[in-house]
Amino acid sequence: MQSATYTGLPRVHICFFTAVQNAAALRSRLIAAAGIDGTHGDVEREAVNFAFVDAASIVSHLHLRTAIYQALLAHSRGSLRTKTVHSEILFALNPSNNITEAIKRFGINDKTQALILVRVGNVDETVDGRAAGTLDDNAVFDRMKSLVQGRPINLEEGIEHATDWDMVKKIYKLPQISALRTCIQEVVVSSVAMKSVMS
Amino acid sequence: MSNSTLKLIESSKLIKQGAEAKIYVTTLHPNEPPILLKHRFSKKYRHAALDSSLTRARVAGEARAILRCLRSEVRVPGIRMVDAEEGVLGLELIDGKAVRQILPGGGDDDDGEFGVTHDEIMTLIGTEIAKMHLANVIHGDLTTSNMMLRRRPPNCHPPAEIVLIDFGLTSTSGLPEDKAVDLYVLERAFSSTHPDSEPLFQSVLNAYAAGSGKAWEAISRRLDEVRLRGRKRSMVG
Ligand SMILES: Nc1ncnc2c1ncn2[C@@H]1O[C@H](COP(=O)(O)OP(=O)(O)O)[C@@H](O)[C@H]1O
Ligand SMILES: [Mg+2]
Repeated sequence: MQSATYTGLPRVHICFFTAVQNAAALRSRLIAAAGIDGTHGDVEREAVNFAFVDAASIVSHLHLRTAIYQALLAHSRGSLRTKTVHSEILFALNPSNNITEAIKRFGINDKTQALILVRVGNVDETVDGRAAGTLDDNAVFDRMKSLVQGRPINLEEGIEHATDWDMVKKIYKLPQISALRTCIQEVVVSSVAMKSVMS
Repeated sequence: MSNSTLKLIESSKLIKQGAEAKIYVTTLHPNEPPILLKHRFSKKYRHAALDSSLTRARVAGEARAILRCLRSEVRVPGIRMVDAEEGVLGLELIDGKAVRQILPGGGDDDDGEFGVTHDEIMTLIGTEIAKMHLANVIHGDLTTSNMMLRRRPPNCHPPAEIVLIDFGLTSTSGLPEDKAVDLYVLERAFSSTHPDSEPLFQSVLNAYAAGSGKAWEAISRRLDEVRLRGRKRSMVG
């Protein structure tokens, strides 16, 4: 797992899981958590309080980081376009403003095998009596591991092997016969970085 | 300062102060190369609300022009972050040298480190601008400061490439007239910055002509007209 702090923004934890066995169960749990009332609901929502990103549509570490950064920026100035900073990451990844489409393309689905979990620390909230902004890195990692049945591996390496290039070309409207991967990566990263001023 | 982008700027290194923008180098992500921040600071004498919407529009315009170039495989810096509210554009940091610095009259700072001749550099410039114009991107401020020479990975041929920068005045147009004016601006920049550079600029045009195919004929005709207008204007003025 990687944890990083951005200037003036909350700490971010990222972990890549390969050979994921329980994608369908995780997805149902996510959907169910939204509908549970009371304290039990809060506990359950906190248990799944991550961005669940299907790694197939991610082209590089920088691609994911760029979406996270733009989501943190929107979060910090109170201009989220979606409900949480975690769903905002999925929104930031998608070229259109359709959140349902973003979740379908970039979120976990029943067939997900390579999964990235992202947790943004939130200074307002407390976990185990401490501000989540200072949430212990290992504690986050343990929670991720208890959630996902899969093997945590190095992020850069994981992304490199998981990318579905045909799907990426479709999502970002790149020609199917198109060029070098480095060119595709550059268009993709730059598109995500500039989404807020795209239209 | 309260917001995160301003904090980021505070922790960055100022490398250039222009009339419109301050340029910084900073690190955004762990394990990623440093980036460049272009901050269009607010002009105190302008109306505040107008100022911020103008700034936003210019950041947006520059980002869109860059993406358009990237999609056409024109070599330009990639975009790394945008905070239009603060007037900040984060770009891939190009590790190279401005063409201005390499040519005589501009700095004359060519120690052959790039392994290309001046004439080869002109060919690279002409080819890159032709690609940009084929995508109907009109740069708006072509000068030898707004293009950088960068080394390519080992065993590439040629060993260096041109990266176009500074899309602050960019527009889109398919008109030969607008492309001709873009070239004319560069021609003037060459002649005012680099003495005896006519043969060099001719090499730029040759490569541009080769790169733009059928489009060249109309652009060339327009370029002659634009030059004529320019000469008349300078005789009058
Ligand atoms: N992506 C970049 N990589 C490296 N240097 C850059 C980059 N962008 C700009 N610069 C440097 O900063 C200077 C000013 O940036 P520029 O975009 O041209 O703004 P201005 O509108 O102030 O001319 C450039 O002349 C160049 O030296
Ligand atoms: Mg400039």
